Amino acid sequence: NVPRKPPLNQDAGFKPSDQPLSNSLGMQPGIQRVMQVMEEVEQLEQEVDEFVGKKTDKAYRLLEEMLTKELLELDSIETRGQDNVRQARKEAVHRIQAILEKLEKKGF
Amino acid sequence: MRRAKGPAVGIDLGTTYSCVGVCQHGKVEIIANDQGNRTTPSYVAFTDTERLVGDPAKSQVALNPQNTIFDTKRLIGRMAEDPMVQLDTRHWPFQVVSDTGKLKVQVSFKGKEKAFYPEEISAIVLAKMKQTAEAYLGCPVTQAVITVPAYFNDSQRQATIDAGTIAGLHVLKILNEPTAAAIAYGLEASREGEEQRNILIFDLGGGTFDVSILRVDDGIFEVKATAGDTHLGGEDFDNRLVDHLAREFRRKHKEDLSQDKKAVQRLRAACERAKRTLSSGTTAAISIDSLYKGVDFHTTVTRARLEDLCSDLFQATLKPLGKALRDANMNKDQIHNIVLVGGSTRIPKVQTLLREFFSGRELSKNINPDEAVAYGAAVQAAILTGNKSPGLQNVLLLDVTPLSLGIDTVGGVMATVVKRNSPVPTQETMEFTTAEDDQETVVFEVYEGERPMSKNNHLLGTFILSGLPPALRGEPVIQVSFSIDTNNILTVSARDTDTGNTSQLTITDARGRLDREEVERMVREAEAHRVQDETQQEKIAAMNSLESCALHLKRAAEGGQALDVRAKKRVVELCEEATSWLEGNQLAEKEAYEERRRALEEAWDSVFSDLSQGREVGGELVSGSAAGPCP
Repeated sequence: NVPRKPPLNQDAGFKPSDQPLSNSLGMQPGIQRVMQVMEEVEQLEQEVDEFVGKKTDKAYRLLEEMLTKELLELDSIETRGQDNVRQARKEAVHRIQAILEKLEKKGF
Repeated sequence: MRRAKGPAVGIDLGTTYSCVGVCQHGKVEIIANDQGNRTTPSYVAFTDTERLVGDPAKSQVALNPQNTIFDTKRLIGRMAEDPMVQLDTRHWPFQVVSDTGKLKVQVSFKGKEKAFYPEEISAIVLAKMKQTAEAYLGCPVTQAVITVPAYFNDSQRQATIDAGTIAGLHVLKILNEPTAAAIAYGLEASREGEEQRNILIFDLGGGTFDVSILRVDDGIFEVKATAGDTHLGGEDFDNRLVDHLAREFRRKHKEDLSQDKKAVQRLRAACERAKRTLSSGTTAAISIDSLYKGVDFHTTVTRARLEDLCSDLFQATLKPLGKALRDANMNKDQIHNIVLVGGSTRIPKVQTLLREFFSGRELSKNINPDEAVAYGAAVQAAILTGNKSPGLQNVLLLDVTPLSLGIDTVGGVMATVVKRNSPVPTQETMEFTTAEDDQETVVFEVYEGERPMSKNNHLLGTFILSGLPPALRGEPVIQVSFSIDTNNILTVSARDTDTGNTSQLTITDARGRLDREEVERMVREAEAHRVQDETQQEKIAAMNSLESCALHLKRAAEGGQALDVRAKKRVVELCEEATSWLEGNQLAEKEAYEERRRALEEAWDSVFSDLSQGREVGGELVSGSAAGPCP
């Protein structure tokens, strides 16, 4: 008999934002998710800064898509009426939109 | 046939999503994929470097729309001239081409144009489901029950079997989806004092709506009627909500966001979330920062509002219900069970309408509606492979022919040989004769359908019996046999009783099927792909291993107080060099990564041994010992 693998935990997905994070800093989960998105966005911004090329380039579309995905991720964070979460999310959205605009200006 | 070791699985091969389950010891387990999801998008994508299946394929669709294939179920087993195909093709971003009447999807893969049969695309999805099951079970899976809609014809069923074969699966049975759902609820068993039972399956998914009425009699399922709408489902409800909120935005903020693709995309995602929320709650908050021209959008949607927006769509589900009942020649009171399938049946209003239609009857809904079909298929797979657990014993499950089968006779009249709804497998024989004196050959045209005139039915194929000896018309006796196997696959043969001459219908390409050679070629190609996929996986593993080795050593060197400055610098340099090499060489071969890693480890060892010769080094000084520094 082949030993059975333990069933996959449904929550053990690959979306890091869904995983409960250590609350060592005493932060709200909403804020933590925003921060996580922004960490990824920082990387993307570097790539946008280095980007040279046309709007039809694959790299351009890839960056645009990745940034849009981050935007959708932010949208899915519920503020639960907490102003600081709301504020953090809003700033993050503005930041991504600014990067997207920067990218659009760079593409020719 | 090789004897398979692993258990047989049940696979719901859906239009937008697929799901796999296994039944062991009388218990069904729906299996999550490597992303942790219990359903897998029926998506396959081709890129310059690789082939993607499931979640990763779907998530890159916006980037690569021409080479991301979905909805294959709408193509499989159909011919190019099929009006349904022509209608669907207009809405797809990928290209559908006709190769001598057979359909193919054309993509650019690794820089080359390549065309695939729908069977091949479905096979890639099936192989993914097989792999998902294998990862969970820890052993190879070679046998499966695959489900199809009840209205699928012979060629669509055969094509689905071919897809299974290409994926390396022996298809034990092609099972009707409504039958699978009924089995999931254990409705095949007759209750005491009950001769037969009528079941209505209400299947409202993401993009399709199907109503089926089944009659179960002593464990035998019979499809009495099917109806529905091939383009009605959850996505239509999302669209209504998107339109409504775009209007509200315009009213509130005097701005039209409908031309801004990103804004619409964000709004759509929020609407889908709201719709789900409204299946359990009565209000859902929408809150999107800087949605359009810097304007935030905050609003609340009530369940009542959603119901109002979709009322005609919800109402539209009742019409096929009535039609199915009429076709089955039944009234509402004769339905014993009403089974819910498909994610959109979670919508309370849909349930209410259905309950009202059946004058307050209870609905079977305690099995996850996204998984009910795979659940039933898994049970069927266990039964067919002799998994005799107490709950499943003595259950005989059979399907029936959905349409009558026969041949064309004098005057264009169809002579029915196998009546509609005959339990399969079956074999029927009927005698025929010649229409003219000294007729040497007889042409048999095989039809399926319920109309008396052949021309109104669906021509399945033609074959010829020749070499009849001279005789008066009406004298020769020709026995025509129709046999249908457990997969609803038909073979027709004719035998002249005088000479013993026999001829048989060979299933040709004209039926939208692939010939055996093609299937074999695809099996070989799929095998080649498997090797390629494995190579790719090994390559990625080698790449990751080099990367983590470089990071690990760098950290160890930086933190190791025992190392002198020069040694430290050397290791750090080497690690950084490896990291930057990695960035520039994402497409290198596995061996190249391994080579790099070895070089790195040797460099580390040499630094370490130089050090050891000089002075005593304690193991705890540097994280990771000299023997095996890499994790």
